[in-house]
Amino acid sequence: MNELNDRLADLADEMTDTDYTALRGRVETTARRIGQRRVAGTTAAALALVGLLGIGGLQLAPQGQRHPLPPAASQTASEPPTPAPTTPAATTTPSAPASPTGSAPANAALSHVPGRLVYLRVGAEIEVVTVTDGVARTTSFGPRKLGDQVATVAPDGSRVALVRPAKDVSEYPGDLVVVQPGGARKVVRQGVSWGGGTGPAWMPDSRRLLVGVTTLEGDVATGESYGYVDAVTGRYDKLGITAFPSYLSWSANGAYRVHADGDSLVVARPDGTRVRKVSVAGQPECDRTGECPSSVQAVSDDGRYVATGLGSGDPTRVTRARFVLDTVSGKRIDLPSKLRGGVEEIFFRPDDTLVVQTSDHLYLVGLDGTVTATIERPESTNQADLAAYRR
Amino acid sequence: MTQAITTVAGTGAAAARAPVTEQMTDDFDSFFRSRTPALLRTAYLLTGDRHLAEDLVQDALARTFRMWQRLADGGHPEAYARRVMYHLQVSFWRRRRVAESMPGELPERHDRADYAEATVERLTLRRALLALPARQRAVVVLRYFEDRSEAETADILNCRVGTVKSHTARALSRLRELMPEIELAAGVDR
Repeated sequence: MNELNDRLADLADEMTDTDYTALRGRVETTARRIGQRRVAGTTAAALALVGLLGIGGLQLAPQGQRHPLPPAASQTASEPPTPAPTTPAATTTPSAPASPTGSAPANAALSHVPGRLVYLRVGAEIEVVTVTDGVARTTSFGPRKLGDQVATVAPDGSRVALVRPAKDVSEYPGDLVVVQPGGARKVVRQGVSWGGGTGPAWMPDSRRLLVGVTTLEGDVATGESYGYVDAVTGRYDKLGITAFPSYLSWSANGAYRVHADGDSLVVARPDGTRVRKVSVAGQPECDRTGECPSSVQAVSDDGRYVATGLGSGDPTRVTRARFVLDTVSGKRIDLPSKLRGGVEEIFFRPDDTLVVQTSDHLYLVGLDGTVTATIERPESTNQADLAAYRR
Repeated sequence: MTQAITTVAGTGAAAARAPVTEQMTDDFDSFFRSRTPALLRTAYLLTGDRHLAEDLVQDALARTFRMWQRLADGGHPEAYARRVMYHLQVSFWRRRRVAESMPGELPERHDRADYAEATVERLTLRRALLALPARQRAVVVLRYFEDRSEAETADILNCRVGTVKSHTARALSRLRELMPEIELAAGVDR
């Protein structure tokens, strides 16, 4: 044990004179209060969602995709979260990939992942690496500055958004900064929240971000609103929602979005029409670690499959996908055993097969767990996070 | 040293509980008795204040209690409680309260090897820890007090190993500035 270990132990010894009986009582009171708060919050959010849908349901629609709700939309949202038989998801046959590149023999010799992979690397410099049909291109977005937090790249790789907290305090709301290739920065909104799954989320149009904006009086938060910020003009369009859709993620084709709602995943159309809600509370990690796989990282084009990581609403943001869940059956897709533990990111191809990133390889994996192609990870993407994939 | 707990019985709400709930509460009480002192020690290093440490443990244990049914059946309640504690501590909403107790100037160091000097050293370390950003402090406590590996630390804080490394480097650099007399080179290396 070195000197720091010893000194920390000595310092910890100062923690004496606790009234454990009183503390035990306070624990129980707090536990009860948390329960009441969660029930109230869930009820309020549900009422808000139903209300919004009832008055037009234009929430979270990507640009160019806003349209009036279908007649049954309000009813769909307020019904129990059962699979919707008319959705594309329900008619998809996972075992029959549409793309010819999904078959094992044809892909065995692939040298690259078909389509476009977008990586973000935040080191001394902020860099976006795009790999388009195997051709890598690295673009600098300038130096990383002290205080930059939660950098995210637009799905098309054209911009990077990050938050610079107004104080050097974890999760203190800050300026939403949009960074252009080369490093030009522009503050487009102040007071933006960035903790956990509630940080700025890019819309599929790669132009707008959904954000939570905290109103502060001194150091005290007095309110929060949610809305879109235009990354170019800074225009803020406030939405009438009462809670941020945590870990909001879109399918690559923009047809579906999924977010976490406690221990459940909510699959919805872009206009907010709920397609289904599936609980992940029965997943083994919930019992084993107390954290359910609810942090959404990617969504298949038909909205049926979701790549998630562990997440329980704690303040830090989860960026790693570990599981693929079938939101129709509620079951998980078995990933090949050789990948377990090493998976960094998972995205979906149009035929619902998977692109799985590990530290040194990319794998194309079928929904039956078969690895159909193993591809060396492009060297230029080392230490970078795979942020988006589009065929 | 942290005092032993002899009893925690007698909370009013415990009077009329259903049998299942009562069993669950008994199990949790047992966990509370055995693990709370250790949690408080860690919480004290994270907060630098006895009352804030109690508040932090209280919140973490309340969340653990709510998860008890799941955790008790093959889960790891202490790991969960510690994880919650670290996450709560680095969150903005709690950190705001801690910020009010941030220290001023570090005390001068004296060379006399006596009790007073030990007190000053503890005070110096406490203030130096509080001068670190919350996440860096959490990394220091996990790596050097709890003796966790970089991978374990990353897992608990839900970040990448590289982030843990950079936080560790920055934290140690800052601690060296604030406490040049302390030996920091031979830290945990796994």
